[in-house]
Amino acid sequence: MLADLAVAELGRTPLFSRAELAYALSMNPRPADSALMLRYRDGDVAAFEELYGRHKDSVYRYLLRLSQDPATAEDVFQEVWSNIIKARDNYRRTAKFTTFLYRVAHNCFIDQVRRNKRHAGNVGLEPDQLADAGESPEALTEKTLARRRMEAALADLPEEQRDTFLLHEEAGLNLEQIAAVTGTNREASKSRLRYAVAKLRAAIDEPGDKQ
Amino acid sequence: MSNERKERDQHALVSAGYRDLAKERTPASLDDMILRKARDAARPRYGRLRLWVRPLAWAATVAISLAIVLQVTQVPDPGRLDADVATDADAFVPASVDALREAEDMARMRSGSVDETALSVASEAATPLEKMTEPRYCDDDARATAESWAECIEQLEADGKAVEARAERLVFERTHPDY
Repeated sequence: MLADLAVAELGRTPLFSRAELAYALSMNPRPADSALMLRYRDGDVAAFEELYGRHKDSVYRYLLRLSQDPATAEDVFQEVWSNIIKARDNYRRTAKFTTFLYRVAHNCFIDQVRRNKRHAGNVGLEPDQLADAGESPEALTEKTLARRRMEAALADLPEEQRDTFLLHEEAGLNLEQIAAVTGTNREASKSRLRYAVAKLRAAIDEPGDKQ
Repeated sequence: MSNERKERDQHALVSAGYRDLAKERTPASLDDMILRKARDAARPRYGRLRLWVRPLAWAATVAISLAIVLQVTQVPDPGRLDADVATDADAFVPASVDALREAEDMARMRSGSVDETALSVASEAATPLEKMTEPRYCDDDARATAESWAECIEQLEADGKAVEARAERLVFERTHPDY
């Protein structure tokens, strides 16, 4: 399709021939996650490093927001990746890797909650430190307040709704994939996501109620 | 504005708010730990040992199978076993006679009572192969019946021809096993 567009562009002489473009497109510089996982299974450590680099921050933030405690998030994060490493021998390309990864993360977090209740009500995040430098004091204050409201609203969400929202935002999963990770159906996931978004929106709109 | 559109806009706004908030990154110490684990796990668990375990297992399986096949195919047939035993017995007689004679001769030479006749007979018997395999110290008349053959053997013993008598007795016993 891209090759056709490139060749037929307004009747001008194409920059590349069809064969050259097809070759360039076939040289995909970004292998799929599952391909990287399979390469790691065969002993390619560089493939794992690339895979880890792609997902580590979003998994970390997912766990951080879910647990609301950096120490818990770090513990679970280690457990998640250890499980991924252990699972490499039996890994099969049956589902999207992200779904697999976040199912592991979700289950590890649930196990952690059952083992240890320390995450409950222990908000250790410091969003103020994340403010961008070079902004006016008013803008900075407004941004900080908005972040605080968002953080507080997220923390106030029921765990299932927060989980669903984070899976959507951090992992980029669709409703079917969220349902697969959380062990529910599509409609339940849709409902949770809608409630979560509505509550967060309300929190952003009405700062006075949350402050 | 439809509800769906409104929801989409609402979602986009919340998403943007969240994106603005969620900028944390994984601590470097965690990265190091995970990547070290990944490297350790990717290392071959059995090293070089693993390279030859599979061929060795195959070789052992083939060797054991061959051994079993050879064992099964080499179990002798009972009829053939009897024939082999009989052949061995036939072959044993002259060899035994020869050995016996040599031993007796040596003993006699040591004791000084060398029987020249016996030696000549023995040498005559030893030279041609047919004679060695078929010693005949009793003639056909003596061998005609079991009794006469036994008398002949006793006579040989009485004459001091112990070696000849023994050789003849071996043939006699083979011919008349129930006597």
